[in-house]
Amino acid sequence: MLVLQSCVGNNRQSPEFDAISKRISGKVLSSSAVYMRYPFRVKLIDSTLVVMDLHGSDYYYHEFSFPELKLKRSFAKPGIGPNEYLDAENIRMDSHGQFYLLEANKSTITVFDRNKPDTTERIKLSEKLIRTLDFDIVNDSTFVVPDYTGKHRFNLINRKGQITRSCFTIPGKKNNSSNVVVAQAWRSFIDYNPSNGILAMVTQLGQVLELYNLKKNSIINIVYGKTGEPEFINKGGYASPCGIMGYSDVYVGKDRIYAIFWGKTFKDIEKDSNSKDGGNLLQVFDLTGKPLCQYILDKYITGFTVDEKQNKIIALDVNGNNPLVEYQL
Amino acid sequence: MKKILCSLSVLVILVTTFNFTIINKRINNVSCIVLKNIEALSYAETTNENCYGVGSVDCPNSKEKVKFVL
Repeated sequence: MLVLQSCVGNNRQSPEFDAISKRISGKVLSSSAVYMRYPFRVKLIDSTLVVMDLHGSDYYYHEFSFPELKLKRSFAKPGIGPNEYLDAENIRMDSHGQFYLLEANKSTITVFDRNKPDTTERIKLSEKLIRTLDFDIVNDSTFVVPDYTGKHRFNLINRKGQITRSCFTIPGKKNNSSNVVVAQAWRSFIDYNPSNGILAMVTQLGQVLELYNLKKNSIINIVYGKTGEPEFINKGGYASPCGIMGYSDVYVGKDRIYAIFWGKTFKDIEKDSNSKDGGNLLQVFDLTGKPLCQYILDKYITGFTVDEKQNKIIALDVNGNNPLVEYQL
Repeated sequence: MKKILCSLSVLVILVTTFNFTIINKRINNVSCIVLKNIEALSYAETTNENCYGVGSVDCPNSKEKVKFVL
């Protein structure tokens, strides 16, 4: 049965980037020849750079030396076997040299030592969680995860996958849809910086940046852009987006937050299914959510990481043959 | 007589253009909900067919990542 819900608007004050926008051009980085169908996440730690292919055909992840960008290995083979992966949502790396891979379709985080890929630990996520699509490491014993239950904005879980704390609620206007449907519409990408305790969440289907302080268990700010909350209709129990493609990645730095924004309407995407994927607006905020600057990139990117020491980003151009692009900020 | 015919022709053209402009404007301004409902009715309950392309949007039915969901 078709259930209708009005597309929501908002009257909140929007961050203004127009006056502080700057156009920048990227430098394509040549890496070892690896075919990637849809590079979506890139992570850099020390001399290791890992790229995640969201639609990987042979492997989901590719590890490169950095800055040489020589392929060291590919891992996480797609498949239904015991050591194969149904999907790839995100990868995190810790300072102890461990990789953490999130597999939403198995509701599992797989952990292995970078130097001993056979040594794995599988963390089965709590059955109370529905479809966890992103995660980050809070400390050695805790992860932060959003999910589709919609009862809380995010949960903290331990190394056994059990919920230890549920935090806040989805900040949107109240409506008649179920929590699950609202959570689908508010699907967000997250990033946490343990040094300042800040968790940032950005909506994929709207223009909302949420900032939380996990150390103080407090909300810092909810920043609504011009296009505001995710717009959707409840179509028989799931959220069908009818607004815009919003953010696709976020990074919490030492004193700045970076987010890549698409800003394309689904109407336009449906009209032109061959349109470029990715966003070309890199928005920079301070740690309270105040807009600082917007870079207009010459390429459309899906994911990125920030080298704060060098003040540059390494981004993924899903539309080109050489996906890795570097931008000096 | 010629003047009357000429005036009528001009009038018909003006009225047609005006109507076309109004209708076109209305179509472009049809709300997201209306369009989605028309699509929903045309796609009936075949929910697995509502996700299209390759992308990063989580399809609620197939759990695949797609370009857009209807």
